[in-house]
Amino acid sequence: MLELSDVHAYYGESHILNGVTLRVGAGEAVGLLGRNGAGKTTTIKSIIGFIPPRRGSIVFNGKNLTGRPPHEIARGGIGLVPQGRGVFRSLTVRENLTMAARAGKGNGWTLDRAFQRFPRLGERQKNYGDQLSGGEQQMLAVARALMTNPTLLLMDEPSEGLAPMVVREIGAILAELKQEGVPLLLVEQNLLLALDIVDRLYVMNKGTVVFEGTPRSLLANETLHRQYLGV
Amino acid sequence: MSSPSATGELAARQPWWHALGRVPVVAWILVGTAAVVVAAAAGNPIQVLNGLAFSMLLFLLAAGLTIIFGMMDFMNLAHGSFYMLGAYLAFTLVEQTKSFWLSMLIAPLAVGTLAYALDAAVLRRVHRRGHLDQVLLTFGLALIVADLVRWIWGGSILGVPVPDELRGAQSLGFTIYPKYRLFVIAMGLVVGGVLWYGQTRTRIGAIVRAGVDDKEMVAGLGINITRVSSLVFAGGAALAGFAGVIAGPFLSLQPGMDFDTLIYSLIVVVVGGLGTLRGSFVAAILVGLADTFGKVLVPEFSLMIIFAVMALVLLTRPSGLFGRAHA
Repeated sequence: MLELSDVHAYYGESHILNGVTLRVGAGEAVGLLGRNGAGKTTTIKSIIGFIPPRRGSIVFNGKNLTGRPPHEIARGGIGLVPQGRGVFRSLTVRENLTMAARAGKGNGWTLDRAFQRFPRLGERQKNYGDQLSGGEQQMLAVARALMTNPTLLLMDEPSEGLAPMVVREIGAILAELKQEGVPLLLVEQNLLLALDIVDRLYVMNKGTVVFEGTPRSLLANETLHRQYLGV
Repeated sequence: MSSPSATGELAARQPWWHALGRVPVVAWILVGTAAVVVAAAAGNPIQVLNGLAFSMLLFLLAAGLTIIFGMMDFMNLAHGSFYMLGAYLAFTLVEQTKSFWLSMLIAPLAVGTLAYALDAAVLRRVHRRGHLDQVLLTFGLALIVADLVRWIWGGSILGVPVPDELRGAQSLGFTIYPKYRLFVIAMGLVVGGVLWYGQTRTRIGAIVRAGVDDKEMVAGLGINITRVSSLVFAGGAALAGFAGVIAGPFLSLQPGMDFDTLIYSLIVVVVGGLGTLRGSFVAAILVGLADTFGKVLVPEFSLMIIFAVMALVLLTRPSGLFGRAHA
């Protein structure tokens, strides 16, 4: 349903993505791994349109999204959980959710359902974004993306900077979303979390994909670990 | 968490006035209010009301400017020109239609529409280009508007008659005061109330605030932030035009009113903090009163006094009374 072919992207003059090709199929959870600076976040930003590709194409559900503005891409059914969470600090938890709410083609997420699934957010609905803990912010970012009722979720390092217990909770949420059949493109440094959830994965290095396979095949390949993941 | 000794060291290295920055905003408001009460008690209630009428005009101007700054990171030096256009349009409309109330409706709409068109045609091109380009472009626009106004309406001082319903004075118990200026104060409060409601209680208000926080993220959630920005820009210009209309009958219309007003509203925006409506409201009252009392008590230094207010605020709270420090 999402297909990137030979995507090249730049930050100013520096060439960051050097021909990225990857796909996410219906109902599939796909991982995007690699060291810092490999181009994972830039790939996400290219998909959502923050950094439009200079070459190559991005097709989603048969629609060519290359060069479209971010709001159109998001309206096409892509939900974004960005790196650093992107929670609006001067909005309450409730407002963070309602401002994003949209009846998309997704799974019928409403404010009530979000509060049911994330009771902590319900308790804190009147608190402002900058009064939340890191874990709460991450839940809010996930819930906010779900409120747009997306048909594909992009998640950029949801476990970054969180305590191990909170990471486990985020992992449980991801597993649950996968159960519901929401396709997922997950960027993650936390290898264990990622391998637990994804069906397939790509490893990136220097702006291009260097490995494609299943978690099992990655685990079997020790050189790959050492060279591109640093474990 | 910092240890007590680290905090002590920090305090030792900072100049003494940094301690003032830790005084809560509420305390600042109380100090301001106290100053007003003292001044009023000193036997000059009329000047307090004059100051408040001016404050409300400043608020109407700064409200638009601060949101445009905060949300679009856009330096608009043509904001005073929208104010001037509103005033002069109202002058002509009142002459033609004989109705102040109709003018009060039409002139801001016309100014808002013009601003929307300007934004779509030229201003949007410099949104991403940094402040210098924005300043140059909008300053140029302001000069063009100033010349156009002089060309169409001439260089002499004009006045808009006070509408019949608001002629005369009203007794307030402790003093009598011109009805029209009370109307200006009331309009400021009403518009302030409406804006406050819109910003804090509606979805579009939440989107605007989110835009001040992180515009890209708003777009990433499927909201056309460019369109929202254009509407906010037009709305801010319409408010400035509205301020121009209601200023007509109590200040005079003359060349130069655009830049005078621009400077005052920039000071209000800076004192209140970029992007905050509350800040603009409090700062407008502070600056309006300081300016009015400055002119009465020490006429030679009146302009200096508001700059002193600004300097004091910036020294103690560099991002304004209600502004948030930028990360």
